[in-house]
Order: sequence, then C-alpha cells, then structure tokens
Amino acid sequence: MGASRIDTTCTLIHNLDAPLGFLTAYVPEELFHAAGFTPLFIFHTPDDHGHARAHLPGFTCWIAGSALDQAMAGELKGLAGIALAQTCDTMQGLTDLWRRNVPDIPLFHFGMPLRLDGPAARAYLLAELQSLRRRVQALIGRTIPDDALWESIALYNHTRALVRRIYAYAAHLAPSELYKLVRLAFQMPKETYNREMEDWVQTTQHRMQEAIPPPAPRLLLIGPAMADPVLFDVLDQAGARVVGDVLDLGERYFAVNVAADDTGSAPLETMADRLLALLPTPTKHHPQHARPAHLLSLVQGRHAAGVIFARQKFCEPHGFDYAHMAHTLNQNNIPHLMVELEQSSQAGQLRTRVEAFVEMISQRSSVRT
Amino acid sequence: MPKYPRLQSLKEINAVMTRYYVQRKALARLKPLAYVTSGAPVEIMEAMGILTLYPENYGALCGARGSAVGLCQVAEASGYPSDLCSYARSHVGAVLQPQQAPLKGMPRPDLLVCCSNICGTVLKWYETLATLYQVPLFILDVPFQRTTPAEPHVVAYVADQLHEFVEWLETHTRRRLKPDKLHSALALSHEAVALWQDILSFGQRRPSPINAPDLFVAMAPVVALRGTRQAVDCYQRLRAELEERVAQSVGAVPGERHRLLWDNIAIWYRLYRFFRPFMDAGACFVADTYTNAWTVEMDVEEPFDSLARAYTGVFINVDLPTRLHTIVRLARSFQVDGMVMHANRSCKPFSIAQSDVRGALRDELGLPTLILEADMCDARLYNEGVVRERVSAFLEML
Amino acid sequence: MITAGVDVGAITAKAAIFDEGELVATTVVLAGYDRAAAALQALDRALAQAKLTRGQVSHLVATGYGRVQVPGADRTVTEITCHARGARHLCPEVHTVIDIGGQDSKGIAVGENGRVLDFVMNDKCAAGTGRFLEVMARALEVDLVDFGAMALAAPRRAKISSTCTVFAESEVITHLATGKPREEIIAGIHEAIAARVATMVGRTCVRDAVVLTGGVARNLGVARMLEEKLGHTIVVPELAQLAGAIGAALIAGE
Repeated sequence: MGASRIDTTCTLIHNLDAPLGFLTAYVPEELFHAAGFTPLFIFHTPDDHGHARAHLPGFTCWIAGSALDQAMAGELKGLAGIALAQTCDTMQGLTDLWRRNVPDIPLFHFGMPLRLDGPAARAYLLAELQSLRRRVQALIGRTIPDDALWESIALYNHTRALVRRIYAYAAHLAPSELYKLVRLAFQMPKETYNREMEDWVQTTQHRMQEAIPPPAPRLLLIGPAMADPVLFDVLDQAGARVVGDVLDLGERYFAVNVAADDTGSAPLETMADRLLALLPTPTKHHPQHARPAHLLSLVQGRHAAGVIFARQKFCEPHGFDYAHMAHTLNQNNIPHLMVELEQSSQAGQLRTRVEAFVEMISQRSSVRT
Repeated sequence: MPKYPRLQSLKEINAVMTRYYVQRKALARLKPLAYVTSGAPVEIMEAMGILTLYPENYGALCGARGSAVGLCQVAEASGYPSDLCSYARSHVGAVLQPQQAPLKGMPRPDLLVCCSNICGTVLKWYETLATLYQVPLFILDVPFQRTTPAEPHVVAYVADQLHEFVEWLETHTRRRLKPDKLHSALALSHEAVALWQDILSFGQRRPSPINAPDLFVAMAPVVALRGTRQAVDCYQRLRAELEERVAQSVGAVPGERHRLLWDNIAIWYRLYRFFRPFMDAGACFVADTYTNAWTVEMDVEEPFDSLARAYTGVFINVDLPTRLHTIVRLARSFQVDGMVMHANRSCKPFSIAQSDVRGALRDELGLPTLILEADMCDARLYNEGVVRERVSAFLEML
Repeated sequence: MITAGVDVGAITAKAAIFDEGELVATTVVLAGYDRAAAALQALDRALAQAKLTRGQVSHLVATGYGRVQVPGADRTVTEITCHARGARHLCPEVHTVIDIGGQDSKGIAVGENGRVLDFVMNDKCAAGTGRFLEVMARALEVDLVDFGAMALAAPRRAKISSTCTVFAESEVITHLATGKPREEIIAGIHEAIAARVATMVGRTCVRDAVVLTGGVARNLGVARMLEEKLGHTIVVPELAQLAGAIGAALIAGE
C-alpha cells in the first residue's frame, strides 16, 4: 500500500502539487482542495530545532510547538499556506505567533464556532466559510466555483467511506498498520489514496470477512492527533488490537459525509452541516452530543476490554475531558489507562504502562471465563 | 508609621467584597444565583436582579488565602491533571471538599453562564460544573477577534446570542428583562468603568500614587460588582483618595526611581510580598495589562450591539498586533523604564505571546523586560530562590 | 519444577528461584551498564546458592526496565504484574502495593490470587522516587543508609513545598543557609516524598494490607511517614526489594 513508512511533512511537500498545511480537526479541507491545493496535515515530530521554544512557552503542547518549529527551521518551505481552525487557546496563540514569525507562509484562520447547537452558530459558521472562501480566492487570484467544491466533496466523501471500511476491519489489523492506513489519508492526494485504498480493500476484504480476529485484548484509544508511532508500536508488541477510537483525527473525523449535490443546498451549507454533526472534540460544545456517552456506547458496541487515553502534556481540553471520562468509565467498571505524551515518547516507559495494562485486562477476562 | 502606607479605600473595598460573599450566601435562597465568567455581559443579569458569583474571583481568593494548593490536590486526586488552570483546579477542589475551602465554599448555583472571550479553559471548567451541579449552562461563544475592528458577522453572532441569552435567562428565572433596568445597569457599568479608567490613569503621575498590587486588590468591584451602584461608590472614594495623594505629592513608593509595567494576572499568594524588593529599590508598577483588561466601554443607547462589540474586543480576545499596540501605548504614556512579565502557567492566552511582546518592547522602545515563571494560584510552581535572584539582577540593571 | 525470575532495574538486578513452590534462593547485584550481563550474574549466583544449574530451570520470566535484554528468558512480564504477585507471596493479605524504585514509583491495587486490579505510575518526575532521596542526601552530605533514621529522630520537619526535585533542592539549600538543623530538613524531605507517593497511590483504591516494595522500602523514615499520609499501616517485608523477581518466578510456574 503506497508508502511503506510514515514521512515527515518536509519530505511530503516536495512530492505534492500545491501543498497547503493544516492543523486542528475542523479545517474545511474540501475548500482548499477545490482551490487547487493538496491539504496536508502537519503532524508533529520528535525533533526540536529550538525555534518554537523561543516563542511558545514550555507549558504549551508539542502539537503546536512542532508545527512552529518545523516552519521556523525552514522545513515547511513550499507550503502555499497553512490553515487552522479556532479550537484551543494554544492554537489561537499559534495564529498570532505564526503571523508574526512565519510571514512567508500565509495563515488562514477559520473561526469554527465553539457552540455546535442553534441557528446563530450555524449562521456564523456559514459566514466564516464564506469569508474563508473569499480569502482563499484572493490568494489564488480567481474564484472557486461551486462545481469544483462539489467535486472535492465527492472525492472526500469517497475517502471517508474507505476509512470507515478500514475501521470496520480494525480488529484484524495490528494497531500500527491500522494507523498507518488512516494517517496516509492525511498525507497524500486524495485521488491517489482513494485508488490505492480501493485496491487494498478489494484484496484484503475476503481475507478479513472470512477470518476470525485473533483473541487479542480489544482496546479503544482516545486523544488528539495520533502522530506518535511509538504508541502504536508498543500496542503491537503488547499484542493488543485497537477496535475503535475517539481520536480527534480518527474515526470521528471520517464518520460523517458531506451531503451530496442533489439536496438543493449550496456546497458551503452542506460542509457546515457536516462540521456541526461531527462528534465534538473537547474544544467544542453540543448539549446533546456528549463525549462520555459516546465513549461508553463505543466500548459496549465494540466489546472493548479497556480504553487508553493518549493525552498530550499541557492539553487542557483533553485534560478536563479525561477527568470526566475516567469517572464515567469507573462507574461502569471499564478499565482505562492514561499515558501522557510529550515531545518525544519514552518508548520504555510507554511500553511498561501499556503492557501492564494489557496484562491486567487479560487476567480480568480470563477470570470471567 | 508603616514604611508604605496603605490606601484607606482598599480596606473598604476588602470589606465590600467580604460582605459580597456573605450577602450572596444569604440571598441565594431568595434570588436566582448564577456563576459567571469574568468576561460575561453581567449587566443583563444585574438588570434582571439575578445574583452573580465569580469562580475566578473565588480562585484568586483561594490563592490569596493560601488554600489553593490543598484544593488543587483535591481536584488532582479526583483525576484532574495538574497542568490544568489553577483557578479551575482550586474551585473544583472547593466544590468537591467545601469544608476545606475558604468561606466553606460558595453557595450552589442555579445557573451557569460561560463566556468564551477570556479563554477556552472556561468552557471545560463550566462543563465540569454543569456535571457536578446538574444545573443549566449557557455558553456565550465570543469568537477570537482576529482583526480589529471586529468583522460584522462576528458582532452579529455575539449579538444574536445575547438575545438568545436573555430568553434563556427569562425561561430559567421567570423574570423579565426590562429595558429601563438594562439601561440603568449599563449606565452604572459605564460609570464604574470610566472611574476605573480614571483611577488607572493616576499611574501616569510622577510619583505615581498607586502601585499594581493596590490595583489587584481594588479591581474586585469592577469585575464582580460591575453594573451596581456599589462599584461606582467604591471607585469614587478611591479616586478621591488618589487625588489627595497627588495634591500632597505622595507616591505609592516613596522616592520613586523606577517606573515599571506588569504583565499578566497577579501572583495571588504573594500579593504584596512579591513587590517588596521592588518597592525597597524605589520601583513602582505604574501600569499593568491585567487591570487594564476591564476597560470595556458601553453605549447605553444600542445595548445589544455595544455589548457585543465591547465583550468581543476585550484585551485578551484580540489579535497580537492590537494587544501590542495597547502595551506600547501604556509603556509610552506611563513613561515606564521596564517591564516584568509573569509567565503564568495557568493562563495561556495571557502568557503565550510574552516572548514576542518582550522582543517588541526591546526593539521599539529599548525597554528591558524580566520574565518570571510562576503561577497565579499554585504556589508549588513558585521558586522563591530563583525569583529573588532574577529580580535582584533586574533591579541592578535598571 | 524449578522456576526462576529475574528483575532487571536501572540500578540493580535481582533473581529469585522457586523449587516446587518454595523459595530457595534470592540475589541482588549492581546492574551497571550491561544489563544482560547483570541479569545473568544475578541468576547464576542464585542458582549457585541453591546448588542448581541453568539446565534445571524449566521456566524463566524476566521483568523490570531491562527485561527485553535478558537472554534465555521464556517470557517477559511487566514489573507491575510481578510486584503484585510477589507481594502476594510475601504478604498474603496484601491489597495495595507501593513500589518506590530508583527511577519510578507505582501504586498497585491487588486482587485475589495476586492479580492486578488497577495501577498508577510516576515515571516522569524524579520527586517521589529514590532519585529524590539520592539528590537530597548528596546536597546534605549524608549517607543514604542513615537518611531514614535521621528523619525519624527529628523533633520538627522543615517545609518543602515544591513538586520539582530541582526546586526542592534549592529549598533545602535555603533552609541550610537560614540555619535549620539538618535532621529537620531531612525529615522535611522524607515528608515530601511520602506526601507525593501517597497522593499518587491515593488515585487507586487503598486497602489493607498495604505493602511497600522496591529499593526505598528499606528506608524506615519513608515507610513511617507514608503510614501517616495514607492512614494505613505499611507492611515492609524482609525481602521487599525482591518482590519483582519473586513474582516473576511464580508467574514462570503458571
């Protein structure tokens, strides 16, 4: 399947047409795609050139720090721009710091509302999408026609359907394999990804449909962008299977399609509706879509034996979320583990915790049977 | 004769704030009580006779009284990571263990009102409170003002939500918002804010009759009693006292030699003690960015539009160039010789751009800056030895 | 059946041998930089003690930080699982294990048969581990072996409020500079580590019997102050430091 290893953003930029970087889980990728760009998520890397920490305080997460560091080290040269959505305080601060310190990579700030309910939020979201469209048009010097948007929407919907299929086979895949396949969706032109994933699905689905997944401990993961391969390697070695997730760029990101062309609505309206319908990340609020309830039903639906929180140090939204989720899981007697990820993970420490957790839940299920 | 005579009005303000908490406890059974964030449009609630309490103010109180660390540990034991905002951790700790908390905690709220113009943490904090108390929560989403002045669709969004907010309050409290009451609340708020701005401007005098720690104590009414006559009265008295000091050329720091600018929230558990070495060296903090944050101006005639603009344009919600403009203006008009920045672990919006602000002040005005890592409430993050060293070195340099 | 367990930590390697369910030998050696060699050395010394040879061992389980480097191990199991099992052997009434090692500390909730119900770990921060005591002992020029006894002898305890070892060290220096008696500072240090560990352990369910394992278990000062902070009696088995190796050897037989 395509690339056999995870490439850094720096390498990818050279191989793509009109790459445009993005951060956060609420950027309307289709808009940039319709404008002729290849949206590329800027995953964090363990390397630190020292630039970010001269601007961002030490008590901010490395997801933001690494992006700034890569940019200031010149590793993102070639990006037509960077887009990020209003999400957390650190991303808001990064907006300011990027504009001041990386002026040659224009930053598109997208004001995704904090509230996902109510007509006022929808109207504002639509106005923001229209504003973003105007700003991108100003950069490229031409309009983005509705037809182009519909085409991009169709392409992205296809990707979403494919990723949903991958998740359906999650129990059959080693965790590192699962997340490589999902991560690649953020790192290549969607046209290529869709083609290669269709092939992959064709060749593997027979095997998957007939096989019984190995009797490995079934886990769920929850957290922000899943950049660190160390966690997945450790899960592989511990012999666990990830049967679903509530990662910001994981299942929830691909769970909802944009409504198609035949509904009579404008493309930006349908894109807005998708953004509002997604399970909220911790930085967004919908009174009826509570994350703890979603996690609980996922545990039950996927017959998961435990949950691993992969929290980035200094992430407040996921930090508060963790406390609430942990209480919910405790009340339902569901084992969970929290691992705090930093700039670079200590593989040894991570392995001990994850293995101990897997040993613990294995003993649990053997006692039950 | 104390070396640094305290302002009489501050004692009165402290007394007002003590009564504030006591009164709210007493009245909580009779009137609807809402916990609100410090940047919320409280004038609307004031006009409807709804009592308000500020968990942030309570957090500062916990810090000042030395209870914050213990309460943070309660929250941490319950699963809240220790790198979350210390106001939130202290307050959650107080909710979980009120017996351990100052004033035995605050009375239960009937409603929660969260306005996102000060930070993203308040969303999570108030969601937590909604779960703990099982009471209705209103989120007023005030978008980041990435260009100044704010874009029309941003103002429209906030104004729409303000209307929604009024309906929500009316439903949950069974009280109506009367236009004349809103008018007077806005007028009082406007008056208090104008007085506050006046008081802040006294720092431009030489010598300055007021020092930043005085302002940290004095700010409580403009935060927690905005829209009331009490706030206006407090500030009229304070202003009169400052006028008298000026008339007698009395400075807050006798023998004022250095004029400094403070950035970020106060270090509540070292409220005056922190400033002592500065005062002993003749350095007075004549201006600060924290108390300047409460200078929103209200147009009484167009309430919803002006409330929307005012609360979107608060210092901590606007883009860096606009914030820098304010800071440079303060530095110039108050004629400061340097700046001290509190790199406050608990407040990302205030702390995140400090390195760049320091660079700007150095490049544009040639001003030296000291950055000190600490926390507003969590004393475990304060290293006395390191702070003392750096402060001494900075003072020697001035 | 003869089973063996090897626990390779950052500082020491430990081995335990069971013969038909009975503990017949235990050793502790310094790990040095070659963990594999240290593991084998520990194992061989234990075998010699029991007058056995490697060939007679039917199963070997390796645990600890260096477990993947132990040649000849049939299985590797984490030290969390092994400490729980080992503590169970040393104290059958155990329901909570507190392991304070050189580099990390753990709290383990133990269920029937010594299985792990829940665990918490601190492996990011030196405060709350043996390292903290090492750094402080050096700063005060006191031998680590005397540390615990001196702590218990002090009539008062100096306050050390920092969560960070580096900050705490500067607090200690400040205390010394202001003339605080060394014993009081040492008592404050022990209180600080006990408080830190107690807070961490408090995140799991603490039930009697509470057993202390790991290298720091020999420090009576820490044990007594932990009792104070937790409000539970702390059991310190004679073979506390070998809990991991013992657990590994028992698991080898399962």
